[in-house]
Amino acid sequence: MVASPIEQVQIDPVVALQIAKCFNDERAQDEDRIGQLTGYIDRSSNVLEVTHSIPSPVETEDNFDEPERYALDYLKYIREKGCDHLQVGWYTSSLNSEIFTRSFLNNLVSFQMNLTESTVIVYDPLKTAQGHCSFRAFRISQDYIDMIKYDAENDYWPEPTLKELRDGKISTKDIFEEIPVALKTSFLANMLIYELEDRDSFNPRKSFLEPATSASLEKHLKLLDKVVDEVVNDSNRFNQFQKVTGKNQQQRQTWMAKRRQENEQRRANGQDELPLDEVNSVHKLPEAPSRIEPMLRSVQMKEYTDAVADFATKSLGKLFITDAFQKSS
Amino acid sequence: MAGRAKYWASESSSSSGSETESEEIVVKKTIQKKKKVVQAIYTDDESEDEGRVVRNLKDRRFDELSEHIKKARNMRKINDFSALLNTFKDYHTTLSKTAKVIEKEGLPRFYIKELVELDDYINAKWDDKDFKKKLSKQGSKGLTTLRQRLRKYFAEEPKTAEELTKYRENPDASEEEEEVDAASSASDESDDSMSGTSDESDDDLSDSGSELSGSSDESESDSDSDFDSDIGDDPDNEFARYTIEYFLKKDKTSSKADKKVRKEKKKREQKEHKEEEDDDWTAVDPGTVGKGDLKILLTGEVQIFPKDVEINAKNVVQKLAEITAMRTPKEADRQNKILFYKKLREMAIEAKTGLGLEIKIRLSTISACYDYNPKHKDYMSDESFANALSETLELVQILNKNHETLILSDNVQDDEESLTDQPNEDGKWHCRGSLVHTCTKLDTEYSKLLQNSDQHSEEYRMRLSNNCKIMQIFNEGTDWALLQADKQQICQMYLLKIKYIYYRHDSQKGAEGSQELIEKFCKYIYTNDETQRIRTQAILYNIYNLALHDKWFQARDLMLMSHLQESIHNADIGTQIIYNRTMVQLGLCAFRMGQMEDAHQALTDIQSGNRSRELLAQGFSMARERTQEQEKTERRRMQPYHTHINTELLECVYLVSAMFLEIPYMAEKEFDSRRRMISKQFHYQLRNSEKQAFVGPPDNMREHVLAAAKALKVGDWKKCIKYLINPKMNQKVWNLFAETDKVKDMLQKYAKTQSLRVYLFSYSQFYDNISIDWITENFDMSSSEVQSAVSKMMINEELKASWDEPSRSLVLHKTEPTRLQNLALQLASRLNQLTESNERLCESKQGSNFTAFYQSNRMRDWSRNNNRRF
Repeated sequence: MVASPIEQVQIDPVVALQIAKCFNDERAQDEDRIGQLTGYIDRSSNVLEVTHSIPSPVETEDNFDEPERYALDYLKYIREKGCDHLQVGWYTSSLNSEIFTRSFLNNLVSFQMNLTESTVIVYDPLKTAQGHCSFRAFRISQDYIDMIKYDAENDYWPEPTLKELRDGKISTKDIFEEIPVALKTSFLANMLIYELEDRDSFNPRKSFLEPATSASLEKHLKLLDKVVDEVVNDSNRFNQFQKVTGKNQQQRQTWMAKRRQENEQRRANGQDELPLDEVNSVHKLPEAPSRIEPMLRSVQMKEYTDAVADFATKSLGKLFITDAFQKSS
Repeated sequence: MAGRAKYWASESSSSSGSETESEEIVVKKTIQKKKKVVQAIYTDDESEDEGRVVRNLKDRRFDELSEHIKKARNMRKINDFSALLNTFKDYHTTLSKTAKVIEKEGLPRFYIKELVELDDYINAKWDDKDFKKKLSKQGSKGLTTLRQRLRKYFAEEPKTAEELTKYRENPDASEEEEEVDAASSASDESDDSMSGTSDESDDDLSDSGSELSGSSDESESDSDSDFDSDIGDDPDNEFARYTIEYFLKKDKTSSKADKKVRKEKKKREQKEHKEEEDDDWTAVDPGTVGKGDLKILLTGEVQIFPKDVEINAKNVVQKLAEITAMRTPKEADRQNKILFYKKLREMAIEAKTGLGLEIKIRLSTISACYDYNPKHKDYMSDESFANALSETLELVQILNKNHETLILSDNVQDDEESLTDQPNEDGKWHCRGSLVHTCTKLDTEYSKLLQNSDQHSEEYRMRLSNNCKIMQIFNEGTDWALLQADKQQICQMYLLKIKYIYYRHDSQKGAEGSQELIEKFCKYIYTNDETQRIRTQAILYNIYNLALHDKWFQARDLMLMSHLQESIHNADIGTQIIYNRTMVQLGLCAFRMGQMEDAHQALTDIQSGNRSRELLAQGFSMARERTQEQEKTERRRMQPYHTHINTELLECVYLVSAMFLEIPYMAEKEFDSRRRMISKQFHYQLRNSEKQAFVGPPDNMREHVLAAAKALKVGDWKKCIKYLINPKMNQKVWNLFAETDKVKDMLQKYAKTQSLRVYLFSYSQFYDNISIDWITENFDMSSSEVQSAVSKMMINEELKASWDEPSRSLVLHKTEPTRLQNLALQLASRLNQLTESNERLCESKQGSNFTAFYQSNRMRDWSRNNNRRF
């Protein structure tokens, strides 16, 4: 049964607060903490509703099998309580849009292989603190999933080769898919918010027009610089690979020609022909550089540039407003 | 009477004058071949052996032999045949070395006995079938080979076999025989030297024709190598007859071979005489000076001439040549040779044969002292060195005493040498030789001696104590050279002297005034030297000494004026080593003076690549593979330990100077993509240390410097100084400087200024203005120091700021590019790199056409975008 893919992720505010709490926790600052999400899938509208989350306990050396048991126990409890206990994915955090890493991809693949509808919710505590509540949902594209040769027993798959990627027509933007996220509050909660707004009215004087993105922008530029540098290195490596391959190809051809000539002579002499496939052992093909890493870097680079562009547009907008204010006053 | 050495006398007979020139050439050739023929023959008496401390050759050989025999007996007990076979081979080698003795005296009794036992043993085992079955494969093989060898040996040496049978018949008789033999040889010997010579030379003459035809040359030289297999008792071998009987005149019909050997010797002597004396000395009466009268008596007396010979210049010259011609493979022989020389000299002086001759003998003595076999030993013994030292000293003293009447020079021709008891026509004694060479040789041998002793041992100290004696010789030598007014020689002597004082600091004991001396010597050399090499070395030594005494500007100017930096790679390796040492010393001096850039620059060549020890000739670097030969030559270049420069100090100075340059530079150019590294090595160390997950408190010198660098990076001068100057570092590094406190003061001052610079570079962006008082307080500097440091930064456009005098503060100007802009610029350049590398990639994939297409495409895209935008 091939279900149509999820078109929207709907987060319950409880989950949002749970995730935010998990990463605002002091000890969570410098660790990649992840947790699991439960909820249910609304097949009619292809919406994934996330209604609960389970933070994974901090892994230590003594209790390295504990997280799993913890998660199972937790699932059992919330089921007893009558909550949704269907695992629908996991969540993690990212600072400064640093998301797309190798382990991120691997985790996602292994989740999605077990449960097709799995998604990941990425929460950015820094942005949220600056006033932009940031929850994003991602999944791996079906094309990519189809391409890799997943070994379900060992939860392992070989890295896709250059050829596979080319044949699958997978380009950088075809690996991840972002799903729109909606935060749906209950009517009761909405009422509370209106109530609160009335009580403490919105104060526009307070840092409304300040382009307070400079530190973040610097950080992004630095990271961008770093990733570009890496991509340059990748490019150079690939270039080198091309050169070596070209040279190798030439050597192979000369070798083959020589071998053929020899074989002809041998045939004339009535001797057995020498095998042609020895060429692989004589001139070994150079090892191709990993393709997936540069692709991930490209994705990451795109992410950074988007973030920078985002900052820039917002700041520019504010600048225009300030300009208008100054002229009018 | 034991241990008398008996040599062939030089028989330069008058009769041989008839020989033509062409014959002489043949002779020359044969001489070269015959060099291997041992010339000394010992006639020993066993009976008195015990009394002597120096054991003669025969005894040592025989001991060796009996040692082997003892081993063989043990082998026989455990039936180890392969080992037994080896021992059997050892007999041969030992015997071949002793061939001469054996020829004279026959095989030693114990050896015969051993052979008999061995033969019996082998036969017994061979016949024992059960035993053979039990033997391992290897064992039986060994037994078979051994048996074959023994048979072959007996077959080849019928004489030995004969002896064996004799022994079997009468195992006890031999002892007496030996004694009788010895006695007769002893008694015969005395008249031998006096009486026998004339008829021998007659014999020689009659045979001379056939010998010189060269027919027997091959067989002669062959016999040398054949010694291994036939131990001289082979009747077929001509050499074999060359036994004691011959010398005892029992056998008048001496064979060609032995005469030939003697003949050659004679000729050689003659030839040498010819060279030395030219025509005046061709006719030497053979009757007066007999052969074999060089002896060392038991009492320690040295006998050179037969008792009743009149000692005159002629004879002395002849005897000198004779001693010189002695071949001395053994240490003991060499000592004897020196004794002979000394005795000869004494006699010469006594007989008043002239000053020229005396000098000549002395020179020969000195060169005899240096005579050692470089194959076995790289350096001479302490004893011979002491000998050489005192001989040279005496020589120099004599030269100085007689500087008006004595001429010692390499330019003196053979026929000009004053070898009579009268000086030459000009009333002066002429002598060929060179004092400078003698002194240079002394110097090289001395350094070899030092190279070959453990630097921390008492031995090294002992050897080092020769320094003052050598200096004394050089001093006297210089005096002499000055009296001769030979500029080149004076230069050479000066250089030798400089070599012994340049590395010493004036404050050291016994080195007072060395600076002025070196100054004086070098100036003389600069004006008078004609060879480039001496001048170059003198300049380097001079710079070294100046740098050592903190005369930085003088030293630097001299280095720059000499233009050595451009030409030094053409110099010989020795000079290059001196250059390296000098540069290092210059760097240290610059450091002490607080000239960090110069210190860094001077040291960087030596320190990069981890080869400092090698470049300074203070040790080997492990990394490089080298052959044994290379290693040997390298070892020969090693500097003696007491002149070494501490490499840890060097590294520390280098790192500290690099730190003071690099850290402010890094702070200044934080966003500059074209930033280069000042010191690769320092960067490497810093990166390594930053990579570490956990950095413990510093322990060694390097860690201290790196910790200081990290403190400096954030402008924390207190910590920086704490890491640089502490008891550990004091002990390891700073105390090695002569004026430690000065250096430390300099370091403190430098650390403060540099941390201020770093602080301003890194953190000025957060300030609008800074009060001077705040700086002086925080950096513990006087306000004038602060002003000078900061003003310098402003002038160099490193810091954009200005002084506000009334408020005593530094006003910082915010300028573009800001940090963010800097980052953007950096990113842009990086992106440029990316496009470039992508284009390269496309090019390799598609060929150059594609690039053109791609570029035009890009241009179109670009213009389209632009259109859209505006």
